[in-house]
Amino acid sequence: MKDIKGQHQAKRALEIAAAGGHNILMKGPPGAGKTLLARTLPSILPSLTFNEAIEVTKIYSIAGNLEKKGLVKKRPFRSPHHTTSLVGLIGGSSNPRPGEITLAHRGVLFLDEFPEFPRHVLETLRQPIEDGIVHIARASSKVSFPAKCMLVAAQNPCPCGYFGDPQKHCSCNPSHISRYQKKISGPLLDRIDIHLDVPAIKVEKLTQQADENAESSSVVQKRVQAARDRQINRYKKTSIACNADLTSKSIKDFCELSDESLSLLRSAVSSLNLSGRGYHRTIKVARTIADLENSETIEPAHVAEALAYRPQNADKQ
Amino acid sequence: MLAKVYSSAVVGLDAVSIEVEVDIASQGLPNFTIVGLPDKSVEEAKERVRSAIRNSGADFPARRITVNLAPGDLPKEGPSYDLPIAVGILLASGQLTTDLTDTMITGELSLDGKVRGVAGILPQALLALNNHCSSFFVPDDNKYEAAVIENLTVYPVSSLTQLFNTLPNNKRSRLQNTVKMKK
Repeated sequence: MKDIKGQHQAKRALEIAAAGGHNILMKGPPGAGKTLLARTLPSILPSLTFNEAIEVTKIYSIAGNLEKKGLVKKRPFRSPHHTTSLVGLIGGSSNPRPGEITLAHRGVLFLDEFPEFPRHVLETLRQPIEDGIVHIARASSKVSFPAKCMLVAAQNPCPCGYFGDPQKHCSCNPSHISRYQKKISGPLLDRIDIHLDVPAIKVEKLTQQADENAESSSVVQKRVQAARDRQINRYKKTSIACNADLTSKSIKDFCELSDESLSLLRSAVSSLNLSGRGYHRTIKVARTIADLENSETIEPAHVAEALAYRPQNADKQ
Repeated sequence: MLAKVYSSAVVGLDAVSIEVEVDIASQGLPNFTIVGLPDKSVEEAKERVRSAIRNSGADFPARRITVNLAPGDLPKEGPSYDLPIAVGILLASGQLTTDLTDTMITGELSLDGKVRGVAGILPQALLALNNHCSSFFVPDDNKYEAAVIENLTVYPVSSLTQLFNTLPNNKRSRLQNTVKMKK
């Protein structure tokens, strides 16, 4: 992570996503470093707990890609190509086998060039993202595979890639842009906690000497681990593993909002037109930001940062 | 003679117990059939088992051999039944006399009798533990995977000959649970 120049906002968002297991969508022109940022994610993820390691090893054992190693000790990072079939992503076939989303269980499912995936493939992700489990029913058998993964998606804002770029001119006409953006449905976007713009990086920054003060992945990983440990400690009597797993009921029990935070959130719900799910997801992200700052209550600053990661214009048409 | 060996199949994320019954009839023309909804790869176990037994120096009986993979309504797939079928034939033909009713066996055979690794060992090891099996025979390639489960005796098998030589004398090499993770 130290080698990535600039993109401080993106790094911060990835840190939050890694700490709470939140879904994240990165939008930006080609070459801005979206893929590079996503690929650094494994280095800052918290380590697997023993029970999680058993779950992951079991899945890899069945899929037959365990090699000769014993226990899987690293969180999986799966990046299927956008030509991946529905069965390849979700799992299936006559004797059901786990798909990419199950292989990414307790880890990261990275979908690069998000809108290039066929629409019907993306829409199948809706239910597993929400429930963390895939139920596959075939004539011969019915099985359920776990699918609690963190979805990381990357896309360009338009087909040419430069829509909204201050320097380069976008060569797409408006109908192309809207068609491109409509490839990802609203319900799917609503399930993504963190929407992030990754702007192109300036040449001066790129040619600069590496910043000595830039944080290395291991420093960030320590903070993420501390935040995750707080979560594990808080949810130890439940089956919840991280903030992203919170249900709307458990949010009431575990996410204590101060009065100011609550009024800020209320006004944001009406002005940003947040859905019920959007509201709950904002609280979850705020909970993670509070965890990163070692705070038990959620303060207005945490809510404000969480709100900044909601899509700014998607809900207003 | 009739012999029974236990193996398992993976359905979804979990393993289910499979009984491998081998019957060698005293009458009838020499024949080798596998029943119990075998798919193509299980059907082909016949050829692998026949060659592996011969090339390991054991005797493949020229009798009417019937293998039943129970329960009969569950489709079986994959090459992991090779080793239990081979052991079943050795038991049914009297070449092996060890009692294997509380052990579980899994593994693919190569034509020269070596045992290859198979997929899905970890859920099978969990099943072996839950069924209170005294031991679990796994391919040598999968030993670390099986060793993840504590409190289960795991024997790595590298070839049919090795299994054959160690079984009757009980000189089993015990695999240590070497793979440990910090909790």
